[in-house]
This record gives sequence, C-alpha cells and structure tokens, in this order.
Amino acid sequence: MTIKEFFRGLIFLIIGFFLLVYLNNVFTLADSNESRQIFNGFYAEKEDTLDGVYIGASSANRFFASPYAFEKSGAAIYTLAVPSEPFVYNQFLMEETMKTQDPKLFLIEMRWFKRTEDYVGEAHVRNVCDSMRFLSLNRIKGINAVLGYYAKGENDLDYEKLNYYFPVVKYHGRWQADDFYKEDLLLTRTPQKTKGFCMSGTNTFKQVDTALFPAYTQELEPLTDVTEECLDDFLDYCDSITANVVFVLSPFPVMEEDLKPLNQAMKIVTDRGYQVINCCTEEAEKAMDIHWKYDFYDEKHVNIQGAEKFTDYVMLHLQESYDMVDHRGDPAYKSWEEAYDAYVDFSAEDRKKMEHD
Amino acid sequence: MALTSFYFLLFALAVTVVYFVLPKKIRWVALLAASYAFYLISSPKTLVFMVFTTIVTFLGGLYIGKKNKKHKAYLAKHGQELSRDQKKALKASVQKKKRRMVFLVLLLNFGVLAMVKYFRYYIEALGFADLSFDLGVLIPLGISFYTFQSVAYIIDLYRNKFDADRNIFKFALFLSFFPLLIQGPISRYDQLAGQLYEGHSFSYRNLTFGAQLILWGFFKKLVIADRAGIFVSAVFDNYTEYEGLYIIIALLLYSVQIYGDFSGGIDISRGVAQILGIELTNNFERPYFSDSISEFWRRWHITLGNWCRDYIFYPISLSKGFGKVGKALRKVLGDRLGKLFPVIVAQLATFLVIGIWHGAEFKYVAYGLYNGGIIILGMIFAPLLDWLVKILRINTKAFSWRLFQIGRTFFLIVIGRIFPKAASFGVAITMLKSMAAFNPGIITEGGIFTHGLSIYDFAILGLCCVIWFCVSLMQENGWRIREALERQNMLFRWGIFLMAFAAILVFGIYGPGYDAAAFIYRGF
Repeated sequence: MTIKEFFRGLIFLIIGFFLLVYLNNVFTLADSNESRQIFNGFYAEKEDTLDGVYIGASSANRFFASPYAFEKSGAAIYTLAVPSEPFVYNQFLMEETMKTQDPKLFLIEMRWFKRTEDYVGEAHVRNVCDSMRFLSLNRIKGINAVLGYYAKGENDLDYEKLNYYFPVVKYHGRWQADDFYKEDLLLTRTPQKTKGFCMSGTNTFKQVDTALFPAYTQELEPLTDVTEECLDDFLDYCDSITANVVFVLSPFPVMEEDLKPLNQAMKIVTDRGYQVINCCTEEAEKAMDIHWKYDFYDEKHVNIQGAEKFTDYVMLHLQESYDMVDHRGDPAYKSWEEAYDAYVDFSAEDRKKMEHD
Repeated sequence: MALTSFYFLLFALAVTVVYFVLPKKIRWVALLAASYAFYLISSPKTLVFMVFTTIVTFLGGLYIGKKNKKHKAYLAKHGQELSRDQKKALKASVQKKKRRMVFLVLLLNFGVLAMVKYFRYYIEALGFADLSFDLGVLIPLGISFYTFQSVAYIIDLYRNKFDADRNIFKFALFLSFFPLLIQGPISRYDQLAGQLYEGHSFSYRNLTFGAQLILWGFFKKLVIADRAGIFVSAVFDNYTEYEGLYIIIALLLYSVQIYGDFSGGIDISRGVAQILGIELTNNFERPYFSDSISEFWRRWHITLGNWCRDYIFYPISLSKGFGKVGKALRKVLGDRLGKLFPVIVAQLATFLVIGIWHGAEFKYVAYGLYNGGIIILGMIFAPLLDWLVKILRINTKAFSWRLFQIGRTFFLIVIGRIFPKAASFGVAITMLKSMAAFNPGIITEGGIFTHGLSIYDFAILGLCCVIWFCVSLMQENGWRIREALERQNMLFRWGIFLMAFAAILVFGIYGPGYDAAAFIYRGF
C-alpha cells in the first residue's frame, strides 16, 4: 500500500463518516417532535446564559413554566425534560449542559422513583438519546447507563446498543412516513419556543376533574436495590460537581403506594444533604393553592393554571435559598422575553375560556 | 452472527487487522482462531460436530494418503519387476482398502449430517412425534457446507488428486474458514487450502475490490431480497387468503428474494475473503439468463452443482454397472434411450440429492425431482423438439429464440420454487391451483400495496432490480464491473460507492421493528 493509497483511502473513509453522520441526523426523531425541539432550543441557548436547568420528564416540562418564571423573577431556568425520561440519564444531561453552560443550579424531578427497573418503554429511552446531538459522547454514555440499568429489570426493552447509537438503524424507514419533511433533509433545527415548557391547545388549557385526591403519607417503602444504587450513584455525581442540585417532587393526586417509595427516595436525598422541594404534602398543597378539580388536565399533569402555581412555589424556594440574578431587560436574554411572549400569545382565546370556566 | 450484521463487519475488520499484523508464516493461525471464534460466537453448542467431522476426515485422509504414497513408492521401487496383472492386483487391493476408509468416513460424516438435520424430521414424519422424541440437538452452523467439503476432500484423496493434509490444524481451517460457514460456497481442497495456508500480503486493490463486493452483497440482500421477502412472507404465511396475481407476484418476488439473499451473502463472503487475499469460487453466474434448466443449474449454486456432478453424476453415469445395464437396455428401448439410461438415473440421483440437501421434507424432494424431471424429459424428447424447430422453420440463432428460451426457463424455475417455499408439498399444490384465479384488480385498485410493501417500496424494489439487471447484463456481455469502475474518475467512482452506502442505510430492510430475515441458505 503506497502513501498515496493510504491517504486516498483515509479521505474516502472521512467522507463516508460524514455521510453517516448526516444520515443519522436526517433519519432520527422527527424535527417536528416536541422532545427534539426541546433539545434544539436547549442547544440554541447562548453560552453561559442559563441560571438553572430543570431535568425530568413530563412531570417537569408540563409543570415548570420557564418563560413565566423568567417574567416573574428574571431567572433563566430551562426545562430540559422529555416525556418519561429515565432518571439514569440525568447525570449525562447535566454533563451535556455543562459543556456550554455554567448553571448555578440543577433542578431534578423525582417522580420517576415511583417506578422500578421493570417499567420502561423504548420511547422513554429514545426521547432523550434521539434528541441529543448525534456526536455527543454524553449521548453514548447515557445510552450505556440507561440500558445497563434496565437490563437488571424484567422488561422487553431492545438491548441492542447499536440501534440506539445509530438512530438511522431505527428511523431509516421514515423516508416514506408522514412526518418526514424537507426540514429533516436540510437538518433544520426548530427550537421549542417556550424554553422547554410544553404547551398544547388540547392539554395546557384543559380543566379535568380527575376525581382523584392525594393520599399523603409519611411512610417509607424501600426502593429496589438497583434503583437505590442508581440514586446513590447519581448523588455521588452531584457531590462531585460545583453546581447546586435541588430535588423536586411536583404535585399530583398521588396514591399512597406510589408515595411510599418516593418518600424513601426523598429521605435518601435529604440524608445526603440535598434540598428537596416536596409538593406532595398537605402544607405544599395549601401553599401552592393547588386545586385538583381546576388545575389539572389529566390525573398526572397540571394545566397552565396549575403550572403557574407550581412555578411560583418553586421559585419562591429558590429565591429564598439561592442568589438568583434578575436578567429581565438584559439584551442577552431577549430570547427569554420572546419565549414569554410566545407563552402568553400561544392561545389567548383558550386561556380566556379557561379563566371563564 | 449474521453476515449483514454490524458485528460481522467489525469481526471481519478485526480479523483483517490481526491477519496482516502477524508474520506471514503464522497468518493461517489467525484465520483458524478467527474461524473457531466465529463458530463459538454463532453456534457454540454445535462446535463438537464440526470438530468431529474434522478429526474423522483428517484421520481418514491420512490413512488414504499413506496408502497412496506407499503404493506409489512401491511401484517406483518394484514396478519394473511386476507383471501387468500383478500391478492390477496390487492396485485393486490398495483401492479396496482405500474404499473401505472412504466408506467409513462418508458413513460417519453423512451420519452426523443425517442425525442432526434429517433424523428428527423423519422420526416425526413416521408418527413418533407423540413420544416427544427429542435429540436435543440444534442444526450445526454450516453443517451441509463443511460436510460436503469434507466428503469432496476424502473422495479426491481416494482418486489420488493431491496429497493428504498432514497438519490437523491447517485442515481444521480448511473446513471452518469463517466466511464460508454461513452459506458456502462449497470449496474444494485443491482450490482453497493452499490459499488459506499461504500468508498473503496486504493489497490496496484487494481491499477496495473486496469492500465493493461486500457493498454489492449488502445492497442485494438488504435493499432487494429482504424487501421482496416482506411481500413473499405475507402471501406464503397466509396462503389461504391469497389467489391469482398475489401468488404469481409472490412467486416472482421469491425468485428475486432468494437470488438476492443467497448471492448477496456469497458476495459478502467473497468480499471478506478477497480483502484477506483469498479468492473464493463464484457461486452464481447470472442464472436467470439461462436458456435451459440444465444450464440454470450450471449457473445457480455452482459449487453444489459441481459437487453433485463430480461425486454423484459422473460416478453413476460412468460406472461399469450402469454401462452394462445401458447396453442391455439398448436392445429393448433402442440405441438412443438405452444410452440415455445411465444418464437419466444419474440425473435423478443428482437432483434427489440436491432436493434433500435443501431440507428433509418431501417438498424438497419434490423440488429436486421437478428440476431433474424437466431435464430428463428434455433429453428424452430432444429429437421431437428438434423436429418441431425444423418444421416450424425457427431460426435458433435469432435473439428472439434465445429470449423465448430464457423466458421459458425462467417461468419453469419460478413455478418450481413454489415447492421449497410453501409450507408443505400439499400447500404448494393448493397454491398452484389458486394461481388460476383472475384478479388484475389488485394492481389497478391498489390492493397489492397493502400487504407489507407500499407503492414506494415497490418503486424502490423495481428500480433496484433494474440496476441489478443492468449490471448482470453488462457482466453477461463480458464487462468486469469493478475493473471498469477502477478506470473511471475518482469522483464518479466515489460518488457511486457513497450512494450505494447511503442507499443501503436508508432503503435497506433492517433494524428494530423489522424481523430481519435470516439468510435463507443458512438453514440449509
């Protein structure tokens, strides 16, 4: 093999690699998917502008109204949360955050601890890894950790790592799907407009009487060994970083059997010296003025009215404990003002209707 | 480990690196280790069968080789002192001993093959299924391929074609070389062993040509064969729900599928071997351009056809016994048919073996007999056909006549494939009857696009088949595609390779959500 042949081969492989990267960016979770847009918006944030990042699942992105929090307090807290995000991803999302941001604090949603390693669906894993940047090492580490965790449970998750590493393996058939647009081919990255807070005409402004009421308890129920180990590892990681970590349990009509393992998880966290904003208590319910009949759009998620109550409550705690900077009026945070405009304008009609109801 | 899996490519890459890093003298050791590692990863429980066949064949070969050498040495020393009759008697005595050993090795090797591949089926077919008789044995990976290779080796030694291998590890490599394990080609000792044992130098040309062959194999397997397979499975798995054009199209697509599947896999195997500097026998020579069934079998699964020719057809048709029977029959059946008799018997035996080689069920036997039967009928009625051609004044040199012959052969091949593909012989007959229904509406009204393949899938399939056809046509006309591409500008060449790579990734049928069809020939 001559030197010329070597370099020719090398150049061909490099071009092939870029083609592979391109195809993995095209044939992945649709750009029109909100999970993807939440990450697009996150990656589009200016460097070192975020005060905080709220990581979790729909129990975070339906609850914490980032634009509203900014409007009220001037704090830029992005909600980097996608539906049913497994807790195991948190460390890697925090690392991903710290590549471009230097947040003062991370908010970590805890509702996930009512589940065990047996409960998972492929979409839970994919919503995160397929929304992250393809070439991010944290994506690979996250996939390994998540699959490693669930492999210890009894579930029918696909454990072929390559299928997650290379989205094209899963999504290449999308070329004939309805949600495949030219934006996907052009690698357009549409950011979510409301800083991770999910709004939709059908949910955000809906009021549903769930006919459920929380059954608060102080009792504890041990977590599974695997889950406890996962939490311990995460707390070890939190110990190793300089940013503050605050744990949050958002409000919902919790059942006693669900609250017991959550209490246990919160106990482990507080025992390790971390603050927990527990919204599943009678005191918190009163302080937030959460109303089970009017503030939810289903039995697990708040509507916009509930979200604002929850956001106010969380911000109150954060302002008490941390020195939150007010960025309102700062030109570097213009996008946050735009996000609030989008938040307000999203559906003035619906909001009026709901307030009327 | 499937040939089209990422892990196989990774495995092949690792083997290539290790192979070329090692000193030339011990490169074959890397291949042996890789082959056994491949077997252990793919089919660990059945490795014992391959080891058994290797040891039996090696020892049998040593014995026969020793006899050959002794005989040769004796003749060299005492040849002049012996009379012709004495030489004959000596030869007969040596042959007898060798024959016994051949028989023993064949018995053991075919015995293992029969036990693991056929015995269970026949036990169940004979009504012992109720006894829950279970050998607890999986079908070993590549057993048909390495058994046939071992049998060819021992018979060729008997025929004194080459010296016996004296190194059991090297011989083990010949039987286990990993690119051959999944679906062949069935390689001969004198063609392959030397190449395996020799340490090859790295060649950029071999690397690029091998990679191109692998790419082409992936394209045929994943984009064409597996896409066609979706419709084929939809129809054959629920045959009672389909009739007419559905079955005809499924049969046509099955012919596309099995060719793409098998030849694609062989291309991947050949490509991997070529990167290592090893040239494997080509197993296909554009079989659908054949103008007769016998030509088809010379172009399709060539190494199996050649094996059957050398170890079944010739030994039967040229045997003294059948020669005598043929002579006797000439008096009864006439000169021509009497002469044909040994050939007909040999043909039947050959196609019976080809049928059984594919599987134990009767449908495979029927498939073999169907093909053999057409060839035999062709031989018997050849004078009648010649007469018809003459009186109809058909110009047999015209393109139209060749086109007719190709079309006729293709039709017969497509129809015959219903036997191995259908769930059973009875199902095949039922489906053949259902074909008579007239339902062109499935195309005009779009019903055909609701059985696993969308209209876009059919479009992709059609386009890719056209590309494949054009490449085949060029090859048929003497083009050597890779050499021709080599002469083109780099940008054009790279453009084609990158497009092929992208096409496989995007249009290939693979990944989760899709139950990737295992290579059809893996099961044989």
